[in-house]
Amino acid sequence: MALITLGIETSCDETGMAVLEDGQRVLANSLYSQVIIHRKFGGVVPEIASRRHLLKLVPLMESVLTAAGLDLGGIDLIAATRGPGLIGPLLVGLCFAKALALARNIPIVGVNHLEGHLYSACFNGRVKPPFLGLIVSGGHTELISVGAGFRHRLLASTRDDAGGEALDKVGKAMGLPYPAGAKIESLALRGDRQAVIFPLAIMKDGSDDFSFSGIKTAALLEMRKRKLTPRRRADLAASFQEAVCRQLVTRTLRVARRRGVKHLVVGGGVAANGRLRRMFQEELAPGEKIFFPEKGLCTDNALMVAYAGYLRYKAGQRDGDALEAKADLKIT
Amino acid sequence: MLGVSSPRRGEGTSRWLTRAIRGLLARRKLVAADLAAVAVASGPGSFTGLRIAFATAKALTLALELRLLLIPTLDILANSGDDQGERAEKLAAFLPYIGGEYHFACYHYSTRYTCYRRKRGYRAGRVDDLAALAGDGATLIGLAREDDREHILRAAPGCSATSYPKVQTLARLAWGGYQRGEWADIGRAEPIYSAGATPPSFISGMKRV
Repeated sequence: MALITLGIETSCDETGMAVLEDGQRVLANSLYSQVIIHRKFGGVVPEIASRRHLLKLVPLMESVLTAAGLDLGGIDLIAATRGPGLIGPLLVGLCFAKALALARNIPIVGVNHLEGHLYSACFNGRVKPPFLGLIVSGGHTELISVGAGFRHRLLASTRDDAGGEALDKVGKAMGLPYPAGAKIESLALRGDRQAVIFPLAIMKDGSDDFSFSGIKTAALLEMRKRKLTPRRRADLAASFQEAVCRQLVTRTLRVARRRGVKHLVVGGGVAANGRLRRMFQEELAPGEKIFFPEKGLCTDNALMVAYAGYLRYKAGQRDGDALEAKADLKIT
Repeated sequence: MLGVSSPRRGEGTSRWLTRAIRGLLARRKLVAADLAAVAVASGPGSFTGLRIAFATAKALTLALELRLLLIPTLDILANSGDDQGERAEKLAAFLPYIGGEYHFACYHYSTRYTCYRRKRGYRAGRVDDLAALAGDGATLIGLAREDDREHILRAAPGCSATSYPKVQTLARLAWGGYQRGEWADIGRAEPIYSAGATPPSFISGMKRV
């Protein structure tokens, strides 16, 4: 008999719900984005995000159940994001999920949002652990060794801004609307990637950690030098995007080769960036393979939560009423 | 009253709530499907606490096709004293808000509804506004900040400045509302965050770009 999983994602400003059959067939996948609401503030306002989640959960749930042709009685498992993320939004989604599980007397599994991003590239058996995972988004830049049986080891992370955060901040300074990081990519298509050469950050202690604040400051200073004409803006966008991608690709491949890992997975919002995808493909050595989620699954979504929750459930995880949201939940 | 539960000291509301509901039902050999309605204190109060209760109540009512009842926190507070047999002609209930302000509302006793009913809308003001209400003959019931207690007690000797809303009162008011068909729309239901008061600066004063 098929196992139907309902995934619930509310870690930041997207309310997501998805229904997944046996971890393979997507019966429904809906996302309500608050981007328009937060745009006028230039970033996510946690209190507003929490309020919108509370208002959107019920209509979204009704819409995914209709799309899946099910009622709540047809759901066998609830998978909900428990962290990391903004604590207000996390609490709303997790409390809703726990009460659904209580009402229907079905199991619940708390999902690490980062694990969701990592495993979204594994959906439909495209790749299986072990692999080296890079999560890069507006909130995270982490390099993780992913082993069988959910054995994760954090190998490197950012020491300052996340990759997506740096793109967002530079884009915002250029006057691009929120979320500016995504807009940089389209602007960069018209620019010269070599127009401004940004240095590659190297850690004095030889670690594989990332750092984007130096190149971010360099980009901001570059903007102050001369008037930002449309041509210069495009050039700067292309050059800055190139520097961010170069650091991500160089570090990831260096770690992969040192550890003899042949399979790489990239997840998170920045994984949708076309230049990052191409650069990885160009730099791969023979025998190395890279896997990206479908572009629609790179941003926060509930399908990845449903899938990761399904995998966890199959591996024997069961969470109870004591399940708690944790803003700084670690993956290892 | 079939049962009452409270979180242990230091236990987070989100961790406690579903466990408490399960425990209360189990103690009476009930299951969630035996419920007819779920009632929540709809605020004002802690924003996060209200959302935890609302998210839980919405899921329960949606999953079990129950009725949802929203009972304003000040209404619960106004009637919490009545549970103990006290009855005032004019009553004002108050709770602390942010920035030194209080949420408050005035009530009169309704024999038709057998409870205190709100006279007008919710208001927000300073401790002097509460003292003025006491000067007009209202009995005050609420929770004063420690710094304000002396001021309030001077203006309204014998008033209750350390009262909390009681969950038993919430249940009693909800039962009345349920019988009268005062059910809320599950999809649209949201807490009273800052009725009659200036929204907090992170909402109203946020710099727009």
